[in-house]
Amino acid sequence: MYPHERSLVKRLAGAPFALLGINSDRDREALKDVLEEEEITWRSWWDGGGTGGPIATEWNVSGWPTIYVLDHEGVIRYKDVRGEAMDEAIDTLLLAMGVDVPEAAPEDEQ
Amino acid sequence: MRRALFWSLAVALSISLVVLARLAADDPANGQSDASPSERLQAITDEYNTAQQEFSQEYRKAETDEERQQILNELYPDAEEYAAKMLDLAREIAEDPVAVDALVWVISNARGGSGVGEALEILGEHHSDSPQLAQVAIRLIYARSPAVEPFLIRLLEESPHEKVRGNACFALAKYCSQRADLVRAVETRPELSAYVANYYGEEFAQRIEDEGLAKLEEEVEALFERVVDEFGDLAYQGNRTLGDLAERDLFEIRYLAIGKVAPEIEGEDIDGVPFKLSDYRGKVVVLDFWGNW
Repeated sequence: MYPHERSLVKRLAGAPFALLGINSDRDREALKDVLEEEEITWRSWWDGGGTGGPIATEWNVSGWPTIYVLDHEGVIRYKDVRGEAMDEAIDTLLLAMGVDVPEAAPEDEQ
Repeated sequence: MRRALFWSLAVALSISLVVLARLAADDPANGQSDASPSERLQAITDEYNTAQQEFSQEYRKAETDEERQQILNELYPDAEEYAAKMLDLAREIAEDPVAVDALVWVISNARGGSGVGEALEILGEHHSDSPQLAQVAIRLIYARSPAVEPFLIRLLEESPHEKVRGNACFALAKYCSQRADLVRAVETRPELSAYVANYYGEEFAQRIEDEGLAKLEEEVEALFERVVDEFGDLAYQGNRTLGDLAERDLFEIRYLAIGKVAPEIEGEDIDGVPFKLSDYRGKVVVLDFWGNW
Protein backbone atom coordinates (compact mmCIF):
# COMPACT_ATOMS: atom_id res chain seq x y z
CA MET A 1 0.00 0.00 0.00
CA TYR A 2 2.63 2.57 1.02
CA PRO A 3 4.38 2.98 -2.37
CA HIS A 4 1.04 3.49 -4.10
CA GLU A 5 -0.11 5.98 -1.50
CA ARG A 6 3.21 7.82 -1.62
CA SER A 7 3.02 8.28 -5.39
CA LEU A 8 -0.65 9.30 -5.16
CA VAL A 9 0.10 11.99 -2.59
CA LYS A 10 3.06 13.18 -4.63
CA ARG A 11 1.12 13.29 -7.90
CA LEU A 12 -1.74 15.29 -6.34
CA ALA A 13 0.45 17.54 -4.17
CA GLY A 14 -0.90 20.71 -5.82
CA ALA A 15 -4.52 19.55 -6.14
CA PRO A 16 -7.40 20.05 -3.68
CA PHE A 17 -6.88 16.57 -2.32
CA ALA A 18 -6.00 14.99 1.03
CA LEU A 19 -5.23 11.45 2.08
CA LEU A 20 -6.17 11.04 5.75
CA GLY A 21 -5.51 7.93 7.77
CA ILE A 22 -7.24 6.51 10.81
CA ASN A 23 -4.58 4.41 12.45
CA SER A 24 -5.38 1.39 14.62
CA ASP A 25 -1.88 0.34 15.64
CA ARG A 26 -1.18 -0.54 19.27
CA ASP A 27 2.17 1.14 19.77
CA ARG A 28 2.28 4.85 19.07
CA GLU A 29 6.04 5.26 19.45
CA ALA A 30 6.75 2.31 17.12
CA LEU A 31 4.32 3.84 14.63
CA LYS A 32 6.31 7.09 14.62
CA ASP A 33 9.33 5.09 13.43
CA VAL A 34 7.24 3.48 10.69
CA LEU A 35 6.07 6.91 9.50
CA GLU A 36 9.66 7.98 9.17
CA GLU A 37 10.98 4.79 7.56
CA GLU A 38 8.15 4.52 5.07
CA GLU A 39 8.07 8.26 4.34
CA ILE A 40 4.41 8.48 5.32
CA THR A 41 3.80 12.21 5.10
CA TRP A 42 0.03 12.17 5.18
CA ARG A 43 -1.80 12.77 8.41
CA SER A 44 -3.53 10.12 10.49
CA TRP A 45 -5.79 10.21 13.49
CA TRP A 46 -4.52 8.10 16.37
CA ASP A 47 -7.49 5.84 17.12
CA GLY A 48 -6.65 4.93 20.67
CA GLY A 49 -4.21 2.07 20.17
CA GLY A 50 -6.15 -0.85 18.77
CA THR A 51 -8.76 -2.00 16.30
CA GLY A 52 -11.58 -1.22 18.75
CA GLY A 53 -10.88 2.52 18.79
CA PRO A 54 -13.69 5.10 18.83
CA ILE A 55 -13.42 6.15 15.16
CA ALA A 56 -13.19 2.62 13.73
CA THR A 57 -16.06 1.58 16.01
CA GLU A 58 -18.34 4.42 14.92
CA TRP A 59 -17.48 3.74 11.27
CA ASN A 60 -18.18 0.03 11.82
CA VAL A 61 -14.83 -0.97 10.35
CA SER A 62 -14.11 -4.68 10.58
CA GLY A 63 -11.35 -5.06 7.96
CA TRP A 64 -8.14 -3.13 7.38
CA PRO A 65 -7.51 -1.28 5.18
CA THR A 66 -11.00 0.13 4.63
CA ILE A 67 -11.24 3.03 2.21
CA TYR A 68 -13.82 5.81 1.83
CA VAL A 69 -13.55 8.47 -0.88
CA LEU A 70 -15.36 11.76 -0.15
CA ASP A 71 -16.00 14.58 -2.60
CA HIS A 72 -15.12 18.21 -1.84
CA GLU A 73 -18.46 18.68 -0.07
CA GLY A 74 -17.80 15.81 2.32
CA VAL A 75 -20.22 13.42 0.61
CA ILE A 76 -19.24 9.73 0.58
CA ARG A 77 -18.86 8.84 -3.10
CA TYR A 78 -16.91 5.56 -3.15
CA LYS A 79 -16.17 2.76 -0.70
CA ASP A 80 -13.44 0.16 -0.72
CA VAL A 81 -11.82 1.13 -3.97
CA ARG A 82 -8.19 0.04 -4.20
CA GLY A 83 -5.21 0.64 -6.43
CA GLU A 84 -6.07 1.95 -9.86
CA ALA A 85 -9.78 2.04 -9.06
CA MET A 86 -9.03 4.40 -6.17
CA ASP A 87 -6.96 6.67 -8.42
CA GLU A 88 -9.76 6.74 -10.99
CA ALA A 89 -12.33 7.57 -8.32
CA ILE A 90 -10.25 10.48 -7.04
CA ASP A 91 -9.54 11.78 -10.54
CA THR A 92 -13.24 11.61 -11.44
CA LEU A 93 -14.12 13.74 -8.41
CA LEU A 94 -11.34 16.24 -9.10
CA LEU A 95 -12.35 16.54 -12.76
CA ALA A 96 -15.94 17.17 -11.68
CA MET A 97 -14.62 20.12 -9.64
CA GLY A 98 -12.95 21.46 -12.80
CA VAL A 99 -9.45 20.63 -11.56
CA ASP A 100 -6.77 19.75 -14.11
CA VAL A 101 -5.66 16.37 -12.84
CA PRO A 102 -1.91 15.88 -13.10
CA GLU A 103 -0.68 12.69 -14.75
CA ALA A 104 1.75 10.55 -12.80
CA ALA A 105 5.36 11.60 -13.26
CA PRO A 106 7.16 8.83 -15.20
CA GLU A 107 9.41 7.89 -12.28
CA ASP A 108 6.35 7.43 -10.05
CA GLU A 109 4.56 4.89 -12.18
CA GLN A 110 4.18 1.60 -10.36
CA MET B 1 -31.47 -75.81 26.86
CA ARG B 2 -30.62 -72.44 28.37
CA ARG B 3 -27.02 -73.41 28.73
CA ALA B 4 -26.79 -74.46 25.07
CA LEU B 5 -28.29 -71.14 24.00
CA PHE B 6 -25.82 -69.26 26.20
CA TRP B 7 -22.87 -71.04 24.62
CA SER B 8 -24.00 -70.65 21.08
CA LEU B 9 -24.56 -66.93 21.68
CA ALA B 10 -21.18 -66.61 23.32
CA VAL B 11 -19.47 -68.34 20.41
CA ALA B 12 -21.35 -66.26 17.85
CA LEU B 13 -20.44 -63.11 19.74
CA SER B 14 -16.75 -63.94 19.98
CA ILE B 15 -16.59 -64.84 16.30
CA SER B 16 -18.21 -61.58 15.33
CA LEU B 17 -15.82 -59.68 17.60
CA VAL B 18 -12.88 -61.36 15.90
CA VAL B 19 -14.34 -60.53 12.49
CA LEU B 20 -14.92 -56.90 13.50
CA ALA B 21 -11.39 -56.59 14.83
CA ARG B 22 -10.04 -58.04 11.58
CA LEU B 23 -12.11 -55.69 9.50
CA ALA B 24 -10.86 -52.76 11.52
CA ALA B 25 -7.26 -53.90 11.27
CA ASP B 26 -7.49 -54.55 7.52
CA ASP B 27 -8.86 -51.15 6.68
CA PRO B 28 -6.33 -48.42 7.31
CA ALA B 29 -9.08 -45.80 7.22
CA ASN B 30 -10.58 -47.51 10.25
CA GLY B 31 -7.30 -47.55 12.07
CA GLN B 32 -8.77 -45.29 14.68
CA SER B 33 -12.05 -47.10 15.12
CA ASP B 34 -11.27 -47.50 18.84
CA ALA B 35 -10.93 -43.76 19.13
CA SER B 36 -13.86 -41.76 20.43
CA PRO B 37 -15.60 -39.29 18.10
CA SER B 38 -13.86 -36.35 19.73
CA GLU B 39 -10.46 -38.06 19.43
CA ARG B 40 -11.13 -38.61 15.75
CA LEU B 41 -12.15 -34.99 15.31
CA GLN B 42 -8.98 -33.94 17.10
CA ALA B 43 -6.85 -36.19 14.87
CA ILE B 44 -8.14 -34.55 11.67
CA THR B 45 -7.74 -31.08 13.18
CA ASP B 46 -4.16 -31.89 14.25
CA GLU B 47 -3.35 -33.29 10.83
CA TYR B 48 -4.53 -30.06 9.20
CA ASN B 49 -2.72 -27.82 11.68
CA THR B 50 0.51 -29.79 11.24
CA ALA B 51 0.24 -29.45 7.46
CA GLN B 52 -0.30 -25.72 7.88
CA GLN B 53 2.72 -25.36 10.16
CA GLU B 54 4.87 -27.37 7.79
CA PHE B 55 3.76 -25.14 4.93
CA SER B 56 4.48 -21.88 6.72
CA GLN B 57 7.88 -23.08 7.96
CA GLU B 58 8.96 -23.96 4.43
CA TYR B 59 7.39 -20.80 3.04
CA ARG B 60 9.36 -18.64 5.43
CA LYS B 61 12.56 -20.46 4.49
CA ALA B 62 12.06 -19.89 0.75
CA GLU B 63 14.25 -17.22 -0.77
CA THR B 64 12.92 -16.66 -4.25
CA ASP B 65 9.42 -16.00 -5.57
CA GLU B 66 9.77 -19.14 -7.63
CA GLU B 67 10.47 -21.24 -4.55
CA ARG B 68 7.60 -19.64 -2.73
CA GLN B 69 5.22 -20.41 -5.59
CA GLN B 70 6.41 -24.02 -5.67
CA ILE B 71 5.91 -24.44 -1.91
CA LEU B 72 2.49 -22.85 -2.23
CA ASN B 73 1.54 -25.32 -4.97
CA GLU B 74 2.94 -28.36 -3.22
CA LEU B 75 2.47 -27.84 0.49
CA TYR B 76 -0.43 -25.46 1.03
CA PRO B 77 -3.00 -27.68 2.73
CA ASP B 78 -6.23 -27.95 0.78
CA ALA B 79 -9.01 -27.17 3.26
CA GLU B 80 -11.51 -28.91 0.97
CA GLU B 81 -9.65 -32.19 1.43
CA TYR B 82 -9.87 -31.95 5.23
CA ALA B 83 -13.47 -30.76 4.98
CA ALA B 84 -14.24 -34.02 3.14
CA LYS B 85 -12.74 -35.99 6.05
CA MET B 86 -14.75 -33.96 8.53
CA LEU B 87 -17.91 -34.61 6.52
CA ASP B 88 -17.19 -38.35 6.44
CA LEU B 89 -16.76 -38.36 10.21
CA ALA B 90 -19.90 -36.28 10.72
CA ARG B 91 -21.98 -38.59 8.52
CA GLU B 92 -20.76 -41.61 10.44
CA ILE B 93 -21.53 -40.17 13.87
CA ALA B 94 -24.39 -37.96 12.69
CA GLU B 95 -26.34 -38.01 15.98
CA ASP B 96 -23.31 -37.27 18.17
CA PRO B 97 -22.79 -33.65 19.33
CA VAL B 98 -19.17 -33.99 18.11
CA ALA B 99 -20.59 -34.09 14.56
CA VAL B 100 -21.62 -30.46 15.07
CA ASP B 101 -18.01 -29.51 15.88
CA ALA B 102 -16.78 -31.33 12.76
CA LEU B 103 -19.34 -29.46 10.66
CA VAL B 104 -18.43 -26.13 12.28
CA TRP B 105 -14.89 -26.84 11.09
CA VAL B 106 -16.16 -27.36 7.53
CA ILE B 107 -18.19 -24.15 7.58
CA SER B 108 -15.33 -22.12 9.07
CA ASN B 109 -12.42 -23.46 7.03
CA ALA B 110 -13.96 -24.36 3.68
CA ARG B 111 -16.58 -21.64 3.70
CA GLY B 112 -16.88 -21.25 -0.05
CA GLY B 113 -16.75 -24.96 -0.79
CA SER B 114 -19.38 -27.44 -1.83
CA GLY B 115 -19.16 -28.98 1.66
CA VAL B 116 -21.11 -26.11 3.24
CA GLY B 117 -24.40 -27.24 1.72
CA GLU B 118 -23.86 -30.80 2.86
CA ALA B 119 -22.80 -29.71 6.34
CA LEU B 120 -26.02 -27.72 6.69
CA GLU B 121 -28.04 -30.69 5.47
CA ILE B 122 -26.62 -32.94 8.22
CA LEU B 123 -27.09 -30.22 10.84
CA GLY B 124 -30.67 -29.61 9.72
CA GLU B 125 -31.53 -33.29 9.79
CA HIS B 126 -29.91 -34.32 13.08
CA HIS B 127 -29.25 -31.23 15.18
CA SER B 128 -31.89 -28.67 14.31
CA ASP B 129 -32.83 -28.26 18.01
CA SER B 130 -29.25 -28.11 19.31
CA PRO B 131 -28.10 -25.06 21.29
CA GLN B 132 -24.71 -25.51 19.54
CA LEU B 133 -26.31 -23.96 16.46
CA ALA B 134 -25.84 -20.54 18.11
CA GLN B 135 -22.15 -20.68 17.18
CA VAL B 136 -22.88 -22.32 13.83
CA ALA B 137 -25.06 -19.33 12.91
CA ILE B 138 -22.22 -16.87 13.56
CA ARG B 139 -19.76 -18.95 11.54
CA LEU B 140 -22.15 -18.85 8.59
CA ILE B 141 -21.78 -15.06 8.23
CA TYR B 142 -18.76 -15.54 5.99
CA ALA B 143 -19.83 -18.77 4.31
CA ARG B 144 -20.82 -18.59 0.67
CA SER B 145 -23.44 -21.06 -0.39
CA PRO B 146 -27.05 -20.84 -1.53
CA ALA B 147 -27.85 -23.15 1.40
CA VAL B 148 -26.98 -20.53 4.05
CA GLU B 149 -30.02 -18.26 3.72
CA PRO B 150 -32.76 -20.94 4.02
CA PHE B 151 -30.85 -22.59 6.89
CA LEU B 152 -30.58 -19.36 8.90
CA ILE B 153 -34.23 -18.52 8.23
CA ARG B 154 -35.21 -21.93 9.55
CA LEU B 155 -33.14 -21.42 12.72
CA LEU B 156 -34.62 -17.96 13.20
CA GLU B 157 -38.18 -19.21 12.88
CA GLU B 158 -37.96 -22.67 14.46
CA SER B 159 -35.14 -23.08 16.98
CA PRO B 160 -36.37 -23.62 20.55
CA HIS B 161 -33.42 -21.58 21.88
CA GLU B 162 -33.64 -17.79 21.97
CA LYS B 163 -29.84 -17.53 21.67
CA VAL B 164 -29.91 -19.55 18.45
CA ARG B 165 -32.77 -17.47 17.02
CA GLY B 166 -31.01 -14.22 17.92
CA ASN B 167 -27.66 -15.24 16.48
CA ALA B 168 -29.41 -16.57 13.35
CA CYS B 169 -31.18 -13.23 12.87
CA PHE B 170 -27.92 -11.29 13.28
CA ALA B 171 -25.98 -13.72 11.05
CA LEU B 172 -28.68 -13.56 8.37
CA ALA B 173 -28.50 -9.75 8.43
CA LYS B 174 -24.69 -9.80 8.12
CA TYR B 175 -24.75 -12.46 5.42
CA CYS B 176 -27.33 -10.57 3.35
CA SER B 177 -25.40 -7.35 3.91
CA GLN B 178 -22.24 -8.90 2.45
CA ARG B 179 -24.20 -10.28 -0.44
CA ALA B 180 -25.54 -6.77 -1.08
CA ASP B 181 -21.97 -5.40 -0.92
CA LEU B 182 -20.97 -7.75 -3.73
CA VAL B 183 -23.99 -6.80 -5.83
CA ARG B 184 -23.13 -3.12 -5.25
CA ALA B 185 -19.50 -3.72 -6.24
CA VAL B 186 -20.67 -5.28 -9.53
CA GLU B 187 -22.23 -1.92 -10.48
CA THR B 188 -18.78 -0.34 -10.75
CA ARG B 189 -16.82 -3.52 -11.53
CA PRO B 190 -18.90 -5.67 -13.92
CA GLU B 191 -16.11 -8.26 -14.06
CA LEU B 192 -17.23 -9.37 -10.58
CA SER B 193 -20.69 -10.36 -11.77
CA ALA B 194 -19.81 -14.06 -12.16
CA TYR B 195 -19.16 -14.27 -8.42
CA VAL B 196 -22.77 -13.44 -7.57
CA ALA B 197 -24.06 -16.72 -8.99
CA ASN B 198 -20.92 -18.62 -7.96
CA TYR B 199 -21.19 -17.62 -4.33
CA TYR B 200 -24.91 -17.28 -3.83
CA GLY B 201 -26.55 -19.37 -6.55
CA GLU B 202 -28.33 -18.82 -9.87
CA GLU B 203 -31.65 -18.25 -8.16
CA PHE B 204 -30.23 -15.31 -6.21
CA ALA B 205 -28.58 -13.86 -9.32
CA GLN B 206 -31.98 -13.99 -11.02
CA ARG B 207 -33.64 -12.35 -8.02
CA ILE B 208 -31.23 -9.42 -8.31
CA GLU B 209 -32.07 -9.10 -12.02
CA ASP B 210 -35.77 -9.01 -11.15
CA GLU B 211 -35.82 -6.95 -7.96
CA GLY B 212 -32.65 -4.87 -7.97
CA LEU B 213 -30.27 -3.78 -5.25
CA ALA B 214 -32.57 -1.35 -3.43
CA LYS B 215 -34.97 -4.14 -2.42
CA LEU B 216 -32.02 -6.13 -1.08
CA GLU B 217 -30.80 -3.17 0.95
CA GLU B 218 -34.24 -2.67 2.48
CA GLU B 219 -34.25 -6.33 3.53
CA VAL B 220 -30.83 -5.99 5.18
CA GLU B 221 -31.92 -2.93 7.16
CA ALA B 222 -35.13 -4.66 8.26
CA LEU B 223 -33.14 -7.67 9.49
CA PHE B 224 -30.80 -5.50 11.60
CA GLU B 225 -33.84 -3.68 12.99
CA ARG B 226 -35.36 -7.02 13.91
CA VAL B 227 -32.15 -7.94 15.79
CA VAL B 228 -32.42 -4.73 17.83
CA ASP B 229 -36.17 -5.10 18.48
CA GLU B 230 -36.37 -8.82 19.27
CA PHE B 231 -32.89 -9.88 20.36
CA GLY B 232 -31.17 -6.61 21.30
CA ASP B 233 -30.43 -7.60 24.92
CA LEU B 234 -28.82 -10.97 24.16
CA ALA B 235 -25.11 -11.16 25.01
CA TYR B 236 -22.77 -11.59 22.08
CA GLN B 237 -19.15 -11.45 23.20
CA GLY B 238 -17.67 -9.85 26.28
CA ASN B 239 -20.11 -7.21 27.46
CA ARG B 240 -21.46 -6.43 24.01
CA THR B 241 -24.98 -7.36 23.01
CA LEU B 242 -26.41 -8.31 19.64
CA GLY B 243 -28.23 -4.99 19.84
CA ASP B 244 -24.94 -3.05 20.10
CA LEU B 245 -23.58 -4.77 17.02
CA ALA B 246 -26.74 -4.38 14.97
CA GLU B 247 -26.89 -0.67 15.90
CA ARG B 248 -23.42 -0.24 14.43
CA ASP B 249 -24.53 -1.80 11.16
CA LEU B 250 -27.67 0.35 11.14
CA PHE B 251 -25.47 3.43 11.64
CA GLU B 252 -23.38 2.38 8.66
CA ILE B 253 -26.47 1.82 6.50
CA ARG B 254 -28.05 5.15 7.50
CA TYR B 255 -25.05 7.49 7.73
CA LEU B 256 -22.09 5.88 5.97
CA ALA B 257 -23.70 4.92 2.68
CA ILE B 258 -22.65 6.34 -0.67
CA GLY B 259 -24.39 9.67 -1.12
CA LYS B 260 -24.44 10.58 2.61
CA VAL B 261 -22.39 13.41 4.10
CA ALA B 262 -19.64 11.76 6.12
CA PRO B 263 -19.98 12.18 9.89
CA GLU B 264 -17.42 14.46 11.55
CA ILE B 265 -14.19 12.86 12.72
CA GLU B 266 -12.41 14.62 15.55
CA GLY B 267 -9.28 13.48 17.30
CA GLU B 268 -5.57 13.93 17.47
CA ASP B 269 -2.87 12.93 15.01
CA ILE B 270 0.04 10.62 15.84
CA ASP B 271 1.95 13.54 17.39
CA GLY B 272 -1.01 14.56 19.53
CA VAL B 273 -2.13 17.57 17.47
CA PRO B 274 -5.95 17.81 17.28
CA PHE B 275 -7.63 18.04 13.88
CA LYS B 276 -10.96 17.24 12.30
CA LEU B 277 -12.38 16.01 9.03
CA SER B 278 -14.35 19.20 8.34
CA ASP B 279 -11.00 21.10 8.18
CA TYR B 280 -10.67 19.45 4.76
CA ARG B 281 -13.97 20.60 3.29
CA GLY B 282 -13.31 21.84 -0.26
CA LYS B 283 -10.91 18.98 -0.94
CA VAL B 284 -11.44 15.49 -2.25
CA VAL B 285 -10.59 13.27 0.73
CA VAL B 286 -9.55 9.64 0.94
CA LEU B 287 -10.15 8.15 4.38
CA ASP B 288 -7.88 5.20 4.89
CA PHE B 289 -8.48 3.03 7.98
CA TRP B 290 -5.09 1.40 8.33
CA GLY B 291 -2.63 -0.35 10.58
CA ASN B 292 1.00 -1.26 10.07
CA TRP B 293 0.43 -5.04 10.13
